[in-house]
Amino acid sequence: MANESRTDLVIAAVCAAVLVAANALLFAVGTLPVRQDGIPDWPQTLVVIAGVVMTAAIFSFLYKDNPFFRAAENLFVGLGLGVTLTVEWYNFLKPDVYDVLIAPAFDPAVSVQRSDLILLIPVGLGLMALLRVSRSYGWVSRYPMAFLVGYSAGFSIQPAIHSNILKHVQATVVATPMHWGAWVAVGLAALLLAATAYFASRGGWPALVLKTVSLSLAGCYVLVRAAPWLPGVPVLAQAFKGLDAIILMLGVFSVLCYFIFSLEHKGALGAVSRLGIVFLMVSFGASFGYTVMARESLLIDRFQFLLGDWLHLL
Amino acid sequence: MQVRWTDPRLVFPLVAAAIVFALLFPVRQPIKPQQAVVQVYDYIERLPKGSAVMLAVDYDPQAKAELVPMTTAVLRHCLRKDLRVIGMTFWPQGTALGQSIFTAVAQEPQFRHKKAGSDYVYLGYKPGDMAQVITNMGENLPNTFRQDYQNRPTTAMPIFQDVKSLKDVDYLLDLAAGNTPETWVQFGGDKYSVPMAVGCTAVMGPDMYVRLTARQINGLIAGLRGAADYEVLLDRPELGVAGMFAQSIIHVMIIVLVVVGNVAFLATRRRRAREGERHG
Repeated sequence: MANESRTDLVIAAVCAAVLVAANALLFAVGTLPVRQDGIPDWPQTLVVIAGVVMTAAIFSFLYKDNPFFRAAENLFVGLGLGVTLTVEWYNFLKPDVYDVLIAPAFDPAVSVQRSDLILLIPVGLGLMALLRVSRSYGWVSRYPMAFLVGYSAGFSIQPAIHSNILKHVQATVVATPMHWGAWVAVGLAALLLAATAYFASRGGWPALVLKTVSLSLAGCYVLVRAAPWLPGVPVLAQAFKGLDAIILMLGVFSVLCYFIFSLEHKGALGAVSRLGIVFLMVSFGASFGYTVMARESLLIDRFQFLLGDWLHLL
Repeated sequence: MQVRWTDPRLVFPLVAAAIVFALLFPVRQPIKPQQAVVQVYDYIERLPKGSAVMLAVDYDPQAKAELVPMTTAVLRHCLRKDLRVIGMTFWPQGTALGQSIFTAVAQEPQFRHKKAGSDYVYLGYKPGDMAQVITNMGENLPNTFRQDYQNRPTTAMPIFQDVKSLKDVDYLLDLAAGNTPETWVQFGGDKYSVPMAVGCTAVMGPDMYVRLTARQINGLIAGLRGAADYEVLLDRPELGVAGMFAQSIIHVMIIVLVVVGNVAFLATRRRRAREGERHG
């Protein structure tokens, strides 16, 4: 344990020394401070160095949890809160409350407008909400909360149902103009998928054949959608025209079936539910893939900062 | 402390090395813009000169990596097309960031003739219930934001002479890192029928595609890849395109590591099974 602590201390000391040495070197060669018209831009230099130190402190968590990481994390939260409070004060509290209701008390030249007295209602509700921190009078905060919840629900429920449910139901069941032959093909494909889901758990050669055919079909569809520039794909894309809507509908139906918990998932319901699981997995996979991409973007941004703004290598 | 070859911490320096390599020795990849991004570009391209476009800069510095390149590219496109741009935000921590983007783009040589208050304006942050604020904007836009970010009164601004409310806005683009697109769609798009698109972080991408399919938005720019697509369409590659090679390298690395990890897992399991058989 003592050895581990010593190792950690040595690693921290080495990292700090490298940071100091790197900044000293950059200063010596003239990269830092950033110069504008020959005048040292000290604030900008400090911003860059602070950014580098904070980045290093946050990245240190990859090694293990440590005081540098916690300090940077707390500083980040504190700064965020400070910025929010400042913005709220200058954008809302000062112009709409302080300047209108309170400042006139200190300035005889300005008087409170009669129409502005209505502001006392929201101010009073806001002050009541702050009583949440009191043990004795915490109950008072329930009144503004009840007002807020009631108002928000009344204001938003109708648009929410319209935008989040009806519009999506409409988009799901929208009529898809397709040739009758395509409809038959889609029906056969749906039957094939359902049969695959049904026989997959039973094993044997029918399951193997059905899995192979279904996977080939799914692979073909994915290829057409993912690589439309490949030779020959436009012809297939034409054949798959309109299939997206059918797949969407099939997905919605099978996923809804999966979430029917009042019936045992056996037989036809079991088969369709298994298909629903496939759709859910595809959806989770897409979300996960996008999340990984987002995190990569943040990492790339940090390295662009370190290599560009700090080291001037880009 | 032991470091084994399967230690996950070995992945971190590998990824770091890959990104450094990709950024120092970039290879220009062919980038084919996605259809959803092309739709946003085409819509802005078709807007008549002088149309009003609202950019909601609904993010904070945490999403800077993905959304600043996107916002910059869209803003450049609008100014290049001589559209009037109205910027605002519902995120208090993103207020200054939005202003810095507007200032930086407006100071570029080709846009120096653009005037704040006439060709573009950044209104800043408006607190309160978002749905209510949008509804207020639908009734009277300059009254909702009586001053812009730099405390100039909006009622006297030429840009608001014929843009009295949100209903007069020709295109709305919410650049978001949170749940603001949902409310924008409900109240801006569906209630006031303002044509709109969304630019968002990659994490939000899959959720936003649902809105695209339901035709609640007419285009989508998702993540750094979306920003890169827009830069390509604009023929001005910058941060978005610069990050694409690094992202591709990491993708390849992740695939290789997943394969190696699974092979190692299977090999370990087989070895343990054999040892189990041997010991009875």
